[in-house]
Amino acid sequence: MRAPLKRYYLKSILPGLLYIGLTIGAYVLEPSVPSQAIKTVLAVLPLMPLLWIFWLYFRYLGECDELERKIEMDAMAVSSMTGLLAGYTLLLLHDFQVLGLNTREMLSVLVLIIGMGYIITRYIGIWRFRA
Amino acid sequence: MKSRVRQLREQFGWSQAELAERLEVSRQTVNAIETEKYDPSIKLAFKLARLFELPIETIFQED
Repeated sequence: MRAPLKRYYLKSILPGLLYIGLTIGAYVLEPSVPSQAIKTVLAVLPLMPLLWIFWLYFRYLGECDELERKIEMDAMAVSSMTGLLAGYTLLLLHDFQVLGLNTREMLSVLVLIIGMGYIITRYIGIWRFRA
Repeated sequence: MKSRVRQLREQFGWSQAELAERLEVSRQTVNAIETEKYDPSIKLAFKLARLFELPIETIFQED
């Protein structure tokens, strides 16, 4: 594993743990919070460590060489296009009442598809250009 | 694009890792250029040309 990737993974541990902690905390606290404003803050707070991870990712991209960057960009392009297509398809399937999924389940499926799309395409790229 | 990078690297007696270090790229990138799976950017092609002290067109040729 190249040093920039290792550094990115290591630096992502703290915000990753923070994200998990804040998400669990939000779920635990939410029932006892009456105010909608505080509920909103609880829901948005876990995004902060995710933004931190995004910032680390963009720094990692800056340290990548051109082939590594191409692999990352291809993976991001495929996952965003897959997300767009999957989102649109899920919307129609939901409207036509083909799928018995509620909004929460649909969003979970969408996030999973985008994430899996990125991971699979990235590993295909690494495999394709493997040394 | 046809590449003479492997041949030139071997002439210089460098390993893929050594060439990668000189070019400041990964060994994966050097291997992909040598096996013609990846065409380098113009910036990297110039770096290779400087390193091998040859014009770019003698290192890379169109198919």
